[in-house]
Amino acid sequence: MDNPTVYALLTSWDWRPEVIFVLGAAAIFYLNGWLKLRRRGNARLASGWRLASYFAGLCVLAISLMSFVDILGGLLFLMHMIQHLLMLSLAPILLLLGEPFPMLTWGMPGGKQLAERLFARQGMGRQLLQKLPVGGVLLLSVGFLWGWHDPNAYNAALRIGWLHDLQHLTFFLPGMLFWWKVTGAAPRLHGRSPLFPRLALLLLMAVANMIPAVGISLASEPIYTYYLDMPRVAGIDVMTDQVIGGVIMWVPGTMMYMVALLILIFRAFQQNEKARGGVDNRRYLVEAQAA
Amino acid sequence: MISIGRLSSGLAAVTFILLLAVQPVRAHITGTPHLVNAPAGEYLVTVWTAPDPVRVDDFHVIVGVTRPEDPSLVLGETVMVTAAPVDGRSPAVTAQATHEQSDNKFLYEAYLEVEEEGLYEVTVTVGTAAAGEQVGVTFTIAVAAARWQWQRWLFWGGLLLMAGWLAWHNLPQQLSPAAARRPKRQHQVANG
Repeated sequence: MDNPTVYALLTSWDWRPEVIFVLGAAAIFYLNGWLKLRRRGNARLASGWRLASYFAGLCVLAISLMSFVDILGGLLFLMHMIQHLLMLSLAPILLLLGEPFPMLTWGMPGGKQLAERLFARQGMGRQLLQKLPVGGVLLLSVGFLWGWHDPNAYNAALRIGWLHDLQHLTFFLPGMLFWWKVTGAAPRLHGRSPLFPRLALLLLMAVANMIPAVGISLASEPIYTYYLDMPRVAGIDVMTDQVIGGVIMWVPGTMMYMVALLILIFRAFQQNEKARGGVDNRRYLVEAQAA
Repeated sequence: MISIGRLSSGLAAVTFILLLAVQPVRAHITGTPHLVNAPAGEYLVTVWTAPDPVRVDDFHVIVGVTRPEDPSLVLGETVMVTAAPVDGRSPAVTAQATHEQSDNKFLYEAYLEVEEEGLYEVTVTVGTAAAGEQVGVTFTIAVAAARWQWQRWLFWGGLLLMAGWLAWHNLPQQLSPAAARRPKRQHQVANG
């Protein structure tokens, strides 16, 4: 890419006040709650890495909604795939690792009352989230992922503004729900949340993501015909664009689920080791006392 | 009977949640395409307009320029846009489309300030006028009357409601006798 192309790419930003306002409010409320919890001596929950993770999540959202990733999505399929990856996986993971629920509850004026109303024993939020099974979350995520990658739905979303908004909304919200189940973030309405259903959820989602990704990457002709009419950016032709977009969905997209799966297995082993260590220590103590 | 305070709190909360959910995921659509790779001299021109429909007070023309031998977007050309009413009732309006005015710096964008609603003929020319190279492409578009922009009002109204809600919850309790009489409630959900 020559210099004017790089310049045009890097300066293609749309500083949307509504996005800045919402992300700014989310940052201020979180920071307020984080500071309050730290002052109350709850530094384990309000840790530095959680703060960093949450803010990184907000930055990822800002990039996916205001930078060239969003603006060039209408001309380049690969940019649209990067945007979906950021909204579907990376932003929800980073945000949820920051445990936003307790921070926002403490940081938002009226947050505690709102949380009480929503998540009280008969609250609407509690009823809704508790009744949602792991299978339901998977169906929702896979349904939207496959549905929006249908050529007709995808082309229509690029042509019709409100449909495109709906596409983003139905990627981001089920993404948050999916990763909420996987990470076990608050509000803790997951029940006992055993390891196996969470591993199965990740494995099935990885496979579900790979199916359209492989199809797109290996297709011999353009699938998303909307791009055939679009002028090209930086000499990337339609087929190259489609292959790169498919590979982005395939490799980094699937990797997100596999890395999360490995982390869960690693943590389960760690906890098991800790528990076994406790049992062994108790046994040695008993043996020592007997001796 | 629901009190005004509770109603406004509820409305503000719902608006805030809606704004939170909908605004950040708003997509970026280039606009409504009118011409796709239309020949204009040595160039091919793709033209979009935004919003849909364009209005007297909100009329943007977005232009992409390529060459027939290379489909990559051409940067740094002089692109002029003229909108002339078909019935000739008001004078034609001309504006230069530039990269600076466009969010997408690979495209050119012009903002046209027309006087009246109606049918307009829009001409887009690419190239330098001095060298006599300007060749235009033309299309016709209906420009609607200016409209009360409810989305903008909804957004700013929502923000105002939210600010009111925040202020209401931040008022010192002794200012409200009703609140002072009310027994304090335990907050059990705070830690998730």
